[in-house]
Amino acid sequence: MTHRTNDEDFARELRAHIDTVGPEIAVDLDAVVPRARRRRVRRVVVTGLASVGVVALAATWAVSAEPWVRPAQVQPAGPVMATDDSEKAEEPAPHVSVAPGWPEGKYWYVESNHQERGDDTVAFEQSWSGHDDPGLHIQNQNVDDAWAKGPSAWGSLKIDGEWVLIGWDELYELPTSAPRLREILFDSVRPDRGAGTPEDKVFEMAAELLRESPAPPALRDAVWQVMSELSVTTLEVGSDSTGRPGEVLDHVVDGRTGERYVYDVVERRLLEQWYFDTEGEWVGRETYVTERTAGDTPIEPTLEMAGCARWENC
Amino acid sequence: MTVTMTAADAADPPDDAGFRVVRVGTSYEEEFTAFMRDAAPALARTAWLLCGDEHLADELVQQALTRTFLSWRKARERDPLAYARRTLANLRIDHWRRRRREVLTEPTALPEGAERRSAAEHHAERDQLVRALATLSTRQRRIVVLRHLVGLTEREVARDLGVSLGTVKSTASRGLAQLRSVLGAADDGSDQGGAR
Repeated sequence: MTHRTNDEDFARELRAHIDTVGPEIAVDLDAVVPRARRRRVRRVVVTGLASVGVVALAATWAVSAEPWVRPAQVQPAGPVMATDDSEKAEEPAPHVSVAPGWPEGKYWYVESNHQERGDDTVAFEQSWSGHDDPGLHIQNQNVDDAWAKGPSAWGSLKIDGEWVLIGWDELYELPTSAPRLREILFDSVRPDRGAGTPEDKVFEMAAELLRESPAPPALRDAVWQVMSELSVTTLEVGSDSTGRPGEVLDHVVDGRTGERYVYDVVERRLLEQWYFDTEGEWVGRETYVTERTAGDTPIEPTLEMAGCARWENC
Repeated sequence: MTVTMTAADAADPPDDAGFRVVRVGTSYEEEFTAFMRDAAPALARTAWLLCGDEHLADELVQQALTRTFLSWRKARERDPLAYARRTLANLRIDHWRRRRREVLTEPTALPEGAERRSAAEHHAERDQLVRALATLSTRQRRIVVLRHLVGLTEREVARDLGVSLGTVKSTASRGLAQLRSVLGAADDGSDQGGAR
């Protein structure tokens, strides 16, 4: 592809190039109308039930002390990696070792600050990833614009010849030996998924296991080791944008840093993720502030909020 | 001439004279289905440019069309394609992509011989494009895709995404420059036999 100086000419060439190399995507249109019909029915039913049940629910919520409350009322307090809300409510939490991780949590709650270059505002993100239940995401505490997601998963990996969806439980079954984990990740590289070399794809799959994840600390360490030993990464000691110390790992794409991750090797958790442009300027970053288990979401996630027909594949 | 009474018509109350109003023509669903068939290829292309994954693009388009159908009365009054495209562009693609429960499918079978080499080159060029788009931030990518790759006007992009005209101008320009730089660098690498 040749590049001309004028933006419009370049864009026109790019569109022609996309016409040539872009994939033919067969959208399954048969599912659309039936899905919409089901959602419409559900919407009507939910609305009806809500109006009938609102008084009863209000009474129940008042005495349960564990309602679907608004974020302002459930703002998590306390240290990073605290224990479950429901545990905290009963008595002062004893010291809990984080070494085994959080295999029994109901939701994995993460607070982060999202910023893009050129945008002075910082978006405050709250995410509840469900163990078995649907999850929720709220930006800037705007409940009206919350969106939902299915029970959480952190990718799919090919283990002993079988594809396995990595949900919460599977995070606790993955090997914590870096060489074995590396083998699984390379076995899971697919030609029609992701971009770049097999190492680039392994990097992405590994990073997926770390982001907003209740993975046990031992697995996190193994993931970090795998990522740092790839030929497409560089590692050094440094800190995140708020000055928290950690190891700084750059994913190098075409000779330039494409992404950067900062991992706290003491607390054993991801602190920050950066994206860069080709000039070496950052274009966006996600700074993880808090992560812990949580007992509930502040509002109930619905299929309507998720835009899905079923939670099973949402 | 065929006179059809649609499901929507059945819900219409009788008029003052006691006759039920009967409309002539296609039903609500037929009208939407025809629109959907025409619009799906363009929406799929846009979705792929936004997310870089064919399977995810399929699902995103289904989501956008489902929402469009639910609001069809409103969407059809103006520009239904614009409505569907706006819905698509505003889906929380990045977050959803990171946390979706993946539906597993087998990789497409590779063709043989010369066809295989040609397909591999094709795949490499596609991969290069996806990689270049992935260097843009979410907002940059949305604006660049709609403005330059879908070909909307700056005003249309601003309206679709709910951002100012100035933001569209500056972001589209910077984003396109970045794409040009990334693709140019990749081309240089290919020329030297060093393409990844």
